[in-house]
Amino acid sequence: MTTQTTILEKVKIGFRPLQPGEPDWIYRIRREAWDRYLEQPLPERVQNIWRYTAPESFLAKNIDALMNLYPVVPDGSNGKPYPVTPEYAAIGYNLDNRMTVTKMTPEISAKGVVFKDIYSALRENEGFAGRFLGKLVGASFGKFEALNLALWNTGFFLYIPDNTVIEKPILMNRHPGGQFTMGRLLVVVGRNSEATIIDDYAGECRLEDPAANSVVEIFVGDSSRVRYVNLQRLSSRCSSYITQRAQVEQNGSLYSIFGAMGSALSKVNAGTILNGKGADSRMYGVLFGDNGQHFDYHTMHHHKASESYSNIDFKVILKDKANSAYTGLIRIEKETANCEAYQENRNLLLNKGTRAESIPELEILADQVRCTHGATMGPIDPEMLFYLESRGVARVEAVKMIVGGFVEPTISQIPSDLQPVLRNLVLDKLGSEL
Amino acid sequence: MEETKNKNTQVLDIGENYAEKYGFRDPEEYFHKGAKGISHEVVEMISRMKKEPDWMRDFRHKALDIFYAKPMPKWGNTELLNSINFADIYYYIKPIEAQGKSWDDVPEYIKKTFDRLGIPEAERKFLAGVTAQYESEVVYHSFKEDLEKQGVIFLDMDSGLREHEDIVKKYFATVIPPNDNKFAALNSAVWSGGSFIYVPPGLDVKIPLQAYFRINAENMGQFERTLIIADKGSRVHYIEGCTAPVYSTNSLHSAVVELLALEGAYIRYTTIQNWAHNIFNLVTKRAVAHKNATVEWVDGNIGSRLTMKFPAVYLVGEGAKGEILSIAFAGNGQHQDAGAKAIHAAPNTSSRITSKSISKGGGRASYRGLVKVYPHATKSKVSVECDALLIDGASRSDTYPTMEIDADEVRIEHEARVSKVAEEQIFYLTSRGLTEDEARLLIINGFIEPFTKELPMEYAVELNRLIELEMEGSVG
Repeated sequence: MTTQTTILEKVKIGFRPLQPGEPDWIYRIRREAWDRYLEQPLPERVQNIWRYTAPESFLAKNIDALMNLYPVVPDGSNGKPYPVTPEYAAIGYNLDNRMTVTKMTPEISAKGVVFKDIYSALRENEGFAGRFLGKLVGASFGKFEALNLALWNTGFFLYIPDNTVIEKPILMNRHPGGQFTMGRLLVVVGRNSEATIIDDYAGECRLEDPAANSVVEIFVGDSSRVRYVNLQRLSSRCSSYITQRAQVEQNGSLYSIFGAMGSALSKVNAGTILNGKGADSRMYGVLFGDNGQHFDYHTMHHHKASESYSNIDFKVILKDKANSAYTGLIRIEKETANCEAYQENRNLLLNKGTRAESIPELEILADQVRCTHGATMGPIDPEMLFYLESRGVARVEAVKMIVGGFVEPTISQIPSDLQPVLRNLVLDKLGSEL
Repeated sequence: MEETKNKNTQVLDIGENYAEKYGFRDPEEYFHKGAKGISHEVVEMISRMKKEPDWMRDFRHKALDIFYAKPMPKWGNTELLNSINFADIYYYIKPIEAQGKSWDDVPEYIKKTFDRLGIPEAERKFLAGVTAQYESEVVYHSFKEDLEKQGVIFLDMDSGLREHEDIVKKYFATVIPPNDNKFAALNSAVWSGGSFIYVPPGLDVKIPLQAYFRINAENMGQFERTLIIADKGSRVHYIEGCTAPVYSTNSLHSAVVELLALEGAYIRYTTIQNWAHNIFNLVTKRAVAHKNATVEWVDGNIGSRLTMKFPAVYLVGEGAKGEILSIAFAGNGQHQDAGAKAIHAAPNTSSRITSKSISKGGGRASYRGLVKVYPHATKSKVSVECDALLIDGASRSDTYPTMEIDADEVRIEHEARVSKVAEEQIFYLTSRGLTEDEARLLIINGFIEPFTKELPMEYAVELNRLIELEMEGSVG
């Protein structure tokens, strides 16, 4: 009790603006979220979503580190060019948890696309950007989400206007620094538009408090098509906590793709709310763990509107004492009709000592539905290996082929320009181990 | 009769036939009716009246302390769970002083109850033995002589403790200790009745052993305790069926069932639970299967307000097998929170879980399951299949399967499907001259057929009849 009081005292003194001159409304939202963070107890382990990972892992080791986060540095380019390479429409960088740099090609800025660091975007446009902040992942979402809303100091805001097609992907490079990293991504896509976002977490965690806490909110307007790729390639000393929520309106579609290879501990809570009639959400996951890595992925598809479609396909490969917990929820609300929801989780256990848990959950409150889910776990089929070896394929190659064959049905579902990214991630990881 | 009718109308979604067929009740004529509520005094009284050995009395007291200390589960239907008022329940009622030795000794009003349930006929036809639990004591008990000669012990649990204390003491609460969960602790403190079965090594009990349970007193909890031990290489099939009169206030039923299948033994345990729609049925059922043993749970949940029941098989010996086959039917106001658990703790073990659920009229059916494979349980196989049928838009179906696989070289498969009755199927059947109701019933009977075909014939017939009653008026 006394420690709690001390922390509160400290906070009263220590909770400070993100930057001199921070607008009141931003400060107020952050301050309220901070109070919510302090008053919420740690999540209870009895909930399936916390069953396999201790919530303590994501607490800041010391409160001072939290209270002394770097202030926001809106343009950290420091005069350096940071060019947009030809394969992208825009590139954003988060460097060392303080500098945010965003660059767009002239073509897309001419179309009215807004791509900025989130602090500047909010400060300059309370009436628009401010409407979306925390609407999907707010302070009441959970303790760590409240913490993020209170203390975020890096991240991006992306706005794609109506009737705008961005053909090349928009890349966001996220490099957490040594500190407890608080990133926030807010994406708002208007009507009848198209965009591809690659959200790439990579790098080394340097200090003794190597936790990243990231929140992603995506709004997909009527008839828009958005592809969101979340790559997690952090170093093996990192622990990362990512909460992603998207809302898809009428006839809109969102493909969410998760590739996870890095981090010692990686917890992701990804969900899509199918909010408009005919909304379509697909999630694909390729997770490859080794060396005692712990992945804890939760997916959620919440069907709030009729004729909405969702599909989840998660493939997990584990070796060398790695373990994975996959929990997934499909909820179909009352008074919806003709929703379809599918969910599949397959786990390939390459050697001894690995562990896989799977809880694919369904909550169906309407009768006009088609809903199935499936989960499997097992080693490489010895007969497949035998067959390949008997044809003269070396064992190492045979394992590669089988692992490739295991993830290929998932990879082949995602847009073809993104397939090589995931395929290479799997092969790289496999290659380095064999 | 008038009073009964009034009360019946308070219970939602029970077909009229149901009330007439199962909803009768007798005036409460009890030899002893203890006070409501639970305390160490009540536990002491129960133990003293049963003239139990000291170790059992101590066991009950310890269990009560555990019950006090354990919090309510924080998962499942917590709203309904927290509505249980433990102070408003009778924990022990003894209908007559001694157990009926023969059919003639059984009091007339109890006979009448059994007649309407059809027990004596069933027994005359082919049953091996019947322990019919009326209130908390077993009042009637019969046994075929040849089984007795072979050394099969089939008694109510209280008599089992009196006559075979050594066996009971050796196995009692070894599968489900009181600290397993709050309701197992409660049962351990106040248990009364239930069945005790011991099958000697190598014996194949060819005819199923059966027991009927009934609840008949308002606000009265039944806390049966069943213990079945199949010794090495033996085989036994036990059948438990339940119906209950209709009452207006909630009644608690919290049984503990422990099965031990020793090396190479086979146990099948069949239940059809059809409590009235105001009863809380919170049951702990668990089996241990030793080397090369097989345990099969066949579990049907039709009645009750809230059922929480997850029959479990612990596969502790190499080559052990477990199979759990269940159906749940959730009508208006009902929540069937049922499922299965398979714990693989030895190599080369296999388990199969098949679950079917039907929700209608605002009912909620949940499948909640656990499959756990421990690190050394290599080469284990698991298959889980859950199918759910939703009859209308007001109903709900949940699937909460948990799979924890800590071993390699295992094969796990899980599948679940939720759908409504397909319009094409109904169209096809109605075009062949069936009414829509008949068509729907036929489809549902087909849906649960993998379950019914595992039941003895008269149970399958009864189950189909029950489903028919539950489905009445569901179309429109």
